[in-house]
Order: sequence, then structure tokens, then C-alpha cells
Amino acid sequence: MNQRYLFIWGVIFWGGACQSLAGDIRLSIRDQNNNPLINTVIKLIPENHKVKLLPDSQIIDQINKEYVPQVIVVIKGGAVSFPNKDNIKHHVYSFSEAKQFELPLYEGTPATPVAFDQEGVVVLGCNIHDWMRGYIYVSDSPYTVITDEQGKAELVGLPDDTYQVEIWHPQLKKDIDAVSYSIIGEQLINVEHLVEIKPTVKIRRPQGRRSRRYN
Amino acid sequence: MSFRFRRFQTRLLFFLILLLLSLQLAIYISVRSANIENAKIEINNSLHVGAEVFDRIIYERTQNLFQYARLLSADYAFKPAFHSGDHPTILSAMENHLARLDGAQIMMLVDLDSIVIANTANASQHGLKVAWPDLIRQAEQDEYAEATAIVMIEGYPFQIIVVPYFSPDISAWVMIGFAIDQTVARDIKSIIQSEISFASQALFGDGLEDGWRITASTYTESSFSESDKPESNDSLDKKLVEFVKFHAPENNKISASLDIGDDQLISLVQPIDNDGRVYAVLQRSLNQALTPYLRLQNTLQIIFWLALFGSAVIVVFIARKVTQPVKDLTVGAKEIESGNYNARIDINLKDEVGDLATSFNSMARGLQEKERVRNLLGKVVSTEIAEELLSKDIELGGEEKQATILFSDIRSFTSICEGYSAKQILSMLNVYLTAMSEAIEVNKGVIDKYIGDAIMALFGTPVSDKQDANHAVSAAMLMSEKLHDANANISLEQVPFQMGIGINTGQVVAGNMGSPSRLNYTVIGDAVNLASRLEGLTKFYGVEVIASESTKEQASDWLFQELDWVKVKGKAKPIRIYRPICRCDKLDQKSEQLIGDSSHLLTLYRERKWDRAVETLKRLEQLDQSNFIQIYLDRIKQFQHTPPPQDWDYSFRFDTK
Repeated sequence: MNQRYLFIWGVIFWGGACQSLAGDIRLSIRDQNNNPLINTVIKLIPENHKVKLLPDSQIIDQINKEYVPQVIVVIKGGAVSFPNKDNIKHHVYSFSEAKQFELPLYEGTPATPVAFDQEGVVVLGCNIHDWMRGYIYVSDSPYTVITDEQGKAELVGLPDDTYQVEIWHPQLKKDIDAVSYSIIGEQLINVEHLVEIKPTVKIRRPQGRRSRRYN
Repeated sequence: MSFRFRRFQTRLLFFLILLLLSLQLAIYISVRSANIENAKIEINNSLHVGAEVFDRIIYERTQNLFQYARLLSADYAFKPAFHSGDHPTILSAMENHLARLDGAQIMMLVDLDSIVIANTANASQHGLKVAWPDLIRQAEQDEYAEATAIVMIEGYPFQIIVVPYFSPDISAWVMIGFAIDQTVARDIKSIIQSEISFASQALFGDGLEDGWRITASTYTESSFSESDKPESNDSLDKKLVEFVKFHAPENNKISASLDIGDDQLISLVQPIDNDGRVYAVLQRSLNQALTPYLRLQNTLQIIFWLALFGSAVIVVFIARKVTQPVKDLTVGAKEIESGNYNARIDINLKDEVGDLATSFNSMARGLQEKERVRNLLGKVVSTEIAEELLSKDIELGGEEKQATILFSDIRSFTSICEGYSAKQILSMLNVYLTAMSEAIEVNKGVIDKYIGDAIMALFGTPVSDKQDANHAVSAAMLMSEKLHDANANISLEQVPFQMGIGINTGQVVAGNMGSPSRLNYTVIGDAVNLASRLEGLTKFYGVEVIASESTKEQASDWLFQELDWVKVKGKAKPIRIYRPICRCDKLDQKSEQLIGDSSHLLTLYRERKWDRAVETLKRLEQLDQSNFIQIYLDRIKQFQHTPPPQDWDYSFRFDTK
């Protein structure tokens, strides 16, 4: 793997002040331009203890011809429903290996949510709106978070163990090698990662009707 | 100029043609060079426009590919096929798409690692690395992840585009390409009306021989006229290749020209790819561009010939108009030169030539007048006097000079005239005078005047050749001879003429005498009188001609018989008188004896030897038919009776005229 594209600055602060029985990890992800990187998925896989997966139900709305939220994490076995909040139909599909499905043109909320039984990234598209893009990160670890607009995410109450950290982003340029962190007792680990992302490829989408008419 | 024109018309024609030719040449050269220059500029401009059109067409076609590729990349129906991972299915689906697309020859799908998923042009490339990874690199830099470039496929240039294949994220690259080939060239030619050729550089890597070649060209067999035709299209290709190779290193748009036969192809060489391996050559034939000008040139030529012909006709007409009077004048002048003073020319012109003609006619009239006067003068006076009179201003007065004067007279003319009418007399006289005058003129004498039957003739004036005396004696002897001839031929009713001639040489005054309005050229002086007196003595001595001593001295060609020593009336000094006998070179025995005996006689006579003188006279009787012998016999008889005085000067006095 070409290390040139991978920068991981791990700065771990050991703080004994924390009163909890387990450790916390605070993550801060930035891109190569040092901008906070939203929608970065961070998955911690404990090396020594088994975790019980509790599948949940998630929702990805379709609002104003966009998937909202754009990136979600679903625990393996969980299900996602795709309510269409627009006044037009959408055709949700995925050809991803983790889950291939399609919800042909529909309005409102489909009767059955879509179940995701295989870990991996499922890329959502809309057959009639090229730009609509949604990502479902099907995770086999409950310790999976998504960064907010500040590029920050937090995992609290982690049992003592050594965790492999996997980082994914829709625009990730190259797969990032997993790194490990060990958590012993009450401690807070602040992790900062620099993730190199690809530039956004623009997708042509119709302009507002007014402006289109006169263009 | 080393040659001369013999005719004015030719000269005028020559200069006119020279002028027209140089004018035409100047027009031809300036129009031609302006046209060629203009045509080149026009062609160049149109080639530049053509190049832009060419760029635009390629751009539009490329954009069309992009449009279609975008549709494909978002085509939902294709996605299951793509995700099936089944190469034949994917290839077949792509071939299906390619078939929908007019004007594209190749479609490829390449994965994100630049490995060929499917290639409609070459199915076997499946799984191999794509030939143009740089194109994908280039696309990755683009905000829409799109790129285009000209690439070489099997040595032929292709315009290839690449767009991302969304499924729904970028899952692969779609590449579509069209060949920049003959069809493109033809399409472009139909729009820009210029010939277009593509030259490409094949590299070893393309599986072809290294080097440049023409991959497409709109030139056909019929692109060139017979004269400009290259030996074959191959040789044109070679020329084009050399041409491109020459300009290729500049890797820029180059205007240049290529010579093919007599034609010049104005060219624009333009690289159309980024690597400088594909060039478009836009060309237009200069000759074809000049075709309208050639028509103009033909028109100009026709106008030139018409102008030349018209001008020649006009020139000939003008030249005739100008030269005809000159010719007439020349003919008139030649007439006058040959003595025909009646010549006149009739030119009815009001210009300079007309003036000249008028002057010429006046001159001819003047000459005619003068000639008439001269002729008349020659008849009235002798030719020499006429010449003398005409040669200088006529004025009164004369000059003293030596001359010989001859007087002749018909003896007893008055008695001869009796019984004849005046008209008959005049007729006879004219015959006589004509004969005598001829004799005088033949001997360079000048008739001074006729005085009735008498003639006064001058020798040595107005012109002299120093032989005046000889001429005068010759004239007298010829007159005598002619008279004898005339007398021998006269009819019985007519009386034979006898005449006397007196000749004297001496100083005279010669000149015009009379009044300013009426004058004569004549001579006066003692010498004239003496000649007249001598004529008067001829009857007495019974001889026809008597010359004075001074004449005898000068007439060296002649031999004389001395007649006497006389004192004429009005003269105190005695003079010797002589009778001319013959020319020195015609002396015969009889004449010699006559001259010798006469001389002897006179010697004896003057020595008063009368008896011996009489004897001599007796001898002379046979030789001399004149009164000479009788005169001396009478004198001797008288002197024998009355001897002459002591101071005898041997002279004989005449008291009559």
C-alpha cells in the first residue's frame, strides 16, 4: 500500500481523571486540507472479547432529492426503511456486494424495511436522480460511529481491550490500514486522524426551473 | 535607335504597340500580383476559418460522445449487466450501445485500476491494462471526472473520451472514440471547402513502422488538373508527409505553401493532438482560387487585342491622313526638282500641313514665274547674258575688261532686198541669222544684238576663258563656211549672200546701259568701233573676214595673211589688218605659200621694190581670189608713177566708215 496517501496522526492522551469503569475514545477526523471531515465512519473491533450485535432499525429519508442522512451505520442484521418525503417518486437501488436491492419507483414509506445481513458498504443510488447518493455502512461491531460536521465522533464506555480501528469515508482515496488501540481502565483517548479523500466528482443536476429556462 | 523606320506609319504603329504592350504588361503584372497576393490572403483567411471550423467540428463530435457516454454511465439498464461481471454480456451490452451511436467506432469499459473490462474494438484486450492510463489520470483531475484526447490506435488517430461509470458511485470508466479518418475529412471538406489531410506519426509501440504517414486525405485523382497532377496519390502523400515533417517540430499552427506541379497549395498545418503526433493539413489550390482571375485575364487579353486592332486601324488611318499630304508634297517637290514647275498640290487642310501646301504652291508658282522669265530672257538676250543678268542684281554701269568683238553684215543687203516682200526678207534674214547665231554660240560667243542684217557678237564677256580671240576667229570662219553652204543650196531665184566680218580685241566697257527701266547688256569703246570699221573694210579687200592686229596676236590657233596697214576713219594710228586663213594644225601648202608670199610681197612693197613686188603679186594671183592683188598692183603702179613720200608709214587711209 502506498503510504503516501495515508496519514494517521494518532495522539493519545492518557487521562486518569475519568471516573467511569470503561475507557472513552474521542475521534477527530480531518482531510488532507485539514478540514473537519463529516460522514467518516469509524469502526472499532475488539480483539479479545465478543460483542453481542443488537440489530436496529434505521431510517434514510429522501428529502428534496437527497438521501438524509447521507451516511448511516447499520449493525449487521439491522434494517433500514426509506421513507420518501418528496412529492415525486424515487427509485432506490444498490448494486453493492453487501446488499443488492431496489425499491422501484415509490411514494411514501415502503411497507417493509430493507434488511442488511452482510457487513460492508452499500451505496445507494436513485435511478432517476443521478446525483442522489446514500451510504449504508453495515457494521459487525457495535462500536461504530460517524463523525459530525466538526469531524468528531465519540465512543464511550469501551471495555478494556485492544481495538482495531477501521476508518471509511465515501470519498476515501485508498483503504486505510487498520490500527489498534488498547484501552485499560478509565481513560480517555483522543485520536486525530487525517484521511485523504478524493475530490468530489460533480454530477450534473438540473438547476432551478427559473434559471434553467433562461440559460 | 540603331534602326530607322522607313515609313511614318510604321513608326507610329510601332510606338503605339509598344505603348499598349507596356501598358498591358504593367496592368497584367500588377493585377496578377495583386490577385495572387489577394488570393493567398483569402486562402489563408479561409484556411484559418477552416481550422477553427475543424476544431469546432471535432469539439462538437467529442461533445456528442460525452453526451452519449454520460447517458450510458447513468443507464440503469446497463448496471445489472455491468455488475454481472460476465465479460461477454458486458461486451455485448456495449456493442449494443455503440450501435446506437452514430459516428463512434470504439467503446471501452475500464475498471478503476485501469484494467480493460471490455473493448468493442478488440475483445481480447479484456483483462489487460488500458493503453492510455494517462487519459484516466487526466479524468481524475477533472471536476466531472471527464477527459478527452487523441490517441493512436493501430497507427490511426482516434478522438477518445472518458467519463466515469456510476453504479451509483464511480465504478469504472467508459471510453468512447471515433476515428479521425476519411469520413471526418470529407465531412469537414464539405463545410470548409478546403482539402484536408491528416498526417500521423506512428511509433514502434503501435506495432507499425516508425514514421509519418497520411492516414486520411480528401485528395483524389480528380483533385488536380492535368498539368498539376502529381505522379500518383502516393507521391502526393510523400510530399505531404515531408511537408508535415518539416513543420511538425514547431508544434504550432503554421501557414506555408506546398508546390505541386505548376500549382501552389496554400496550406495550414495544425497539430490536433497534445503530443504533436497528429496533424491536420488544410490546403487550397492557388490555381483554383485564381480561376476567376484567369477569366478576367482572358477578358483583358481580348480587350487588349481589340484595342490593339482598333488602335492599329486608327493609327493607319491617322498616319495615312498625315502622310498623304507629305507624300503629295514629296511628289510635287520631285516634279519641281525635275523641272516641271507646273506641279501643284491639292491639300484641303487648315492645319500646318495645309499651310505648308499653300507655301509649296506659292513657291512653285514663283519658280514657274522665274523660269518663264529666264526662258524669255534667254531668247531676248543670249543665254550667257541672261545668266549674267539673273545672277546678280541688275544695275546700270559696267566694268572695263578685255573682249573680242565680232561684227558681221550682209553686203549690199538693201539691193538684195529689192523685189522681195518684207515678210520674205524677214524669213530669209531669220534663216541667215539663225545659222550665224549658231556658229557664234557654238564658239562660245554671245550675240549682243542684231542690227538689221548685222550681228554684233561678244567673246570674253560676260564670261571669259582667255581664248576669246581664238573663239571669235573660229566663229567667223564657221559663219563664212555656213554662208557658203547656204549659198550652195539656195534656189535659182535667190541671190547669194555675201558678208563681211570684222573682229577686234581690246579694252571695252561691259555692262548694263540705258535707263533704269529699260536697259541692255552691251559693250562700248574704241575696240567696238574698230571691229565695226574692220567689217566695213572687207568689201574693199574682197575678203570675208578681217581681224585686227590685237586679235591676230591672241588667236594663236590660227594663221593669218597680213592684208595691210591702215588708218581707219577717226584713228590717227595705223593698224595692221589680217585675214584668217586656216588653223595652225590644218596648214596646207597652198595656204603656206599664200601667207609666205603675201608677207614677202608686203616686205618688198614697203622697201619700195616695186618690180619685184609685182612679180610676187603675179605669183599670188593663182592663190588669192580677193582684191588683195589688184589693190597692190594699183598702188605700185601709182607709186611707180608718183613715189611715196619720204615719211611713208606704209599705211592706207580710209576716210569712209
